[in-house]
Amino acid sequence: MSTIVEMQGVRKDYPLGKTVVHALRQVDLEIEAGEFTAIAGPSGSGKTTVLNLIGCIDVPSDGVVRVAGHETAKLKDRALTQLRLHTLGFIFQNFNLIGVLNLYQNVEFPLLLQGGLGKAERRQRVLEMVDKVGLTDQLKQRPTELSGGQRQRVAIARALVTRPKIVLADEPTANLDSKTGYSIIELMKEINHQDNTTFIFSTHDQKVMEHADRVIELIDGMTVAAEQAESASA
Amino acid sequence: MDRWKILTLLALRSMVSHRVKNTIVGIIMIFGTMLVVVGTAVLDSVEKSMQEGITSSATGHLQVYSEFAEDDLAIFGQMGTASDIGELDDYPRVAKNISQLPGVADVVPMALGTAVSFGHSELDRVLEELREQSERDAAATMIQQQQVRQIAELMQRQNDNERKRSTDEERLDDERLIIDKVLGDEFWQGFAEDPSAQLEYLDTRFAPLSTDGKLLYVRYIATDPEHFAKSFERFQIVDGEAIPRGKRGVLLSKRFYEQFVKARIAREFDAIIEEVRESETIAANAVLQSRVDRMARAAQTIIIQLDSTETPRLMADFEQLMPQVAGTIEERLVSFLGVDDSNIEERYAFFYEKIAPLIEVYDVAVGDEIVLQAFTKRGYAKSAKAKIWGTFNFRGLEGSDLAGAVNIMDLITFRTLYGKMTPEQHEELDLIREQAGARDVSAEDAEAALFGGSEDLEADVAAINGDDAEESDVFEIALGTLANEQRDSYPVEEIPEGVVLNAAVILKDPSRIDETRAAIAALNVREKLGIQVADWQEASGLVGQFILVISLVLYTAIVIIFTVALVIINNSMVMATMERIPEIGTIRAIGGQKSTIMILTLLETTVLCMIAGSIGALAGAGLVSLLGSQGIPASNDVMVFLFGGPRLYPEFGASNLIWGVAIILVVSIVSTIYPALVATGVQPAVAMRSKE
Repeated sequence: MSTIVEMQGVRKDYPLGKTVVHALRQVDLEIEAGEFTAIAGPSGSGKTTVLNLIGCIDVPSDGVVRVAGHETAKLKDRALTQLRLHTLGFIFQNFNLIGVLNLYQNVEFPLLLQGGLGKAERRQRVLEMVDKVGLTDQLKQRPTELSGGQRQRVAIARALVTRPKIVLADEPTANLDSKTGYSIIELMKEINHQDNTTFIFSTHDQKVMEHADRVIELIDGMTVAAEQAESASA
Repeated sequence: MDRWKILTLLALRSMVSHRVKNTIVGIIMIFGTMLVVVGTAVLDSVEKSMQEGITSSATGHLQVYSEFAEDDLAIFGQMGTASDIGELDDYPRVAKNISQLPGVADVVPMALGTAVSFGHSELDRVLEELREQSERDAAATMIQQQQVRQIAELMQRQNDNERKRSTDEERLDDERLIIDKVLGDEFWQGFAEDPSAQLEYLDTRFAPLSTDGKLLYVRYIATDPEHFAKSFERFQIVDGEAIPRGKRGVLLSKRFYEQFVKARIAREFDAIIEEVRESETIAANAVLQSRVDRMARAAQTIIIQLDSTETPRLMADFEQLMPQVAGTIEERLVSFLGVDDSNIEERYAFFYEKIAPLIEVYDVAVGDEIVLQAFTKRGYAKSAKAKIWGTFNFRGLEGSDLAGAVNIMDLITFRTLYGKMTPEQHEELDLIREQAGARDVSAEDAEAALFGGSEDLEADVAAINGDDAEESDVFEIALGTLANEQRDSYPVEEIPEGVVLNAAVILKDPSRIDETRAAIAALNVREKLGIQVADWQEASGLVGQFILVISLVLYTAIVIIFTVALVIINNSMVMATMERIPEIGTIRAIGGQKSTIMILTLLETTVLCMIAGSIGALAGAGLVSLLGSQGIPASNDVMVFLFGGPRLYPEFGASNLIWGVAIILVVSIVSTIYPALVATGVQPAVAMRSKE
């Protein structure tokens, strides 16, 4: 197994008016390819910021973030976007489907952004993914015509259709009832097993965490190991 | 390809989801495109019609005139302002050179000018008749005597009226003495004894008190009439005949003839009936009412023209027409002229049938001779007699005052007015000088013998006298007598030889104006012709520039509407972008580049613009077609001129449609740049925070 995500001494500050918010103060972590990893911690502990940094949506103020071998702080916007398009898949807390497109078009959209695939091949991939998430009967539906769980399944299909190395999910079950939530986690787990895709998801739900191979805990913008080291030295 | 499809789909869907906003923007775009299509199509058509109208009436496609001209050439220019356009140095050479250029069909010599004709007053006419009649039989002048007394009575009343307003009582008293004398029986007893003494009194004391003699300003294009008629296809004779080959004379414009030469009552009557026939009513139109009042007030001008046999005849006609109106001829006439909507047609017919034959409807008639006066550049008066051969107009521009403001004259008469001497005049001048015993005349003769040619003589006379001989007093007196004895014919070879001020250049292919203009300019430099070139638009004067004014108005309107469109599109796109920030963030997060977002935003406006632009262009084309089949009526004189006729039938071309769509496309894209920049600035991180 090889390391696919690496964070060393990562700090992230956000300016907020005249003050600075220290969203991450000291984060060190390594995630192996094919791992099913949960990032846990209370609200405001920095889970989303970590996912943003891994997802190349943001770059660290200090420290090193390496994703699939690329040090993100050294990349320009264009290259970061390329990395997101080809290497990463995203599942959002609020599903973030494109309202004006139907299920099929939503799933197909990242492939169109990528380009390169012929229409037939694209169709095959989309249908394969939709089948995997069990929504073959709803191809023509618009997001508003689907339930929350179905929408999140569409989002999973969209995240996976490009066959990314890493799938990031930001509290994927937060807006779902617990039963639906667990079925979503189970679906992700199943895909993880089948395709060996790396999954990194944030959650503060204990039962969801139990599905993870490994849980990385964050407290006040620090990974727990770092926090312990800091408290020990204090 | 599929990527574009999905982006277009996104754009379309987004359009539909903002349908209210997009409908408003779309309507503005449709309106703007329509305005461009209709506006440019009408403008193109106006330019075309105007070009056709003006070039085939009097300007030709190009005009050449002296490069030393003080003023710009203005063929249909403002009335009354004398402009100095210099003279062509050597017209035969200019004409020959230009004629040889490829594409030039013809060169027509011209000279623009203004002359004045002093119309005769009614009193002058009556006095002339009185004189003629008394020479034949002094005892049989009762009719004329009565007419003189009628006029005197009228003047007496005017004298009374004037007293109410004027403080110049001394003058009015003097005038009153003369009028009273003419009205007295004693004066006419004296006339029976010695007509010539009384006639002299009438001529010298009484006649100057009459004020109804009319000044006529005759703006003219002097030319070779035959050549002109051949080259300008819109030119057509209305009354009388064309100026015959080799004959002197003028052709009056029909419009000018009707407006300035026609007697006032007839003119007012014509104007009223014209409006009434165009469905105006006198009852509801204050302008027409005041015309009716003016007409009734001018009843006197008819009465003074009636003699003792005509008055009772007219009385009887009135009895039949208006049995309810009693009273004197004057009372009945005033009542007759006070027309209203119910009787205007009947009375108009009566006027031309019964009254017009008794009076002079035109101050000068076709076939009459008028004396034209003009001032030379240095301010000396010149005069020439000219026969009115007929009237003319330019086909399609019959209703235009501007086109109707110019009259046609032969170049030889023009030269008399301009102050250039003919060879005969030179001879005669020499004779007069000899008779006057002037010493330097012999010296001039010697020079003349040496140099021969008339032009040389003229120059040399000037040189020897140290003065412009033409304008010396001796010459003025001489020419005054010469005007009475001028020849009425001339050899046509003389036409190109003397002074020519400008020349019309007519092209075989009107679309090659600019090319030919450049060719003439180059020719001028090469051959040193001393000329400058103006195209028909410049040469026609102020009116030619109207098209620029119209363009300016149109383009201002277009700029305003598109500025509004720009602001509104920009605003609504910024709002739409704000609403779509989560969506844009998501697209960015899952790997959409900034350029994709830019394309997406521009595409939305472009799609809307293409839809609205097409509808607008089609609607505009439809409107132009409709206008083209109905014709836009020219609402006033300038419009008639611009439209080259009473109606404009606009047409559209592909260029109008392309322009319409192109402008709206550019405006849409420009107005979307800012919202597109806002959209591309959206951070992918917003996707993580978004609520669906």
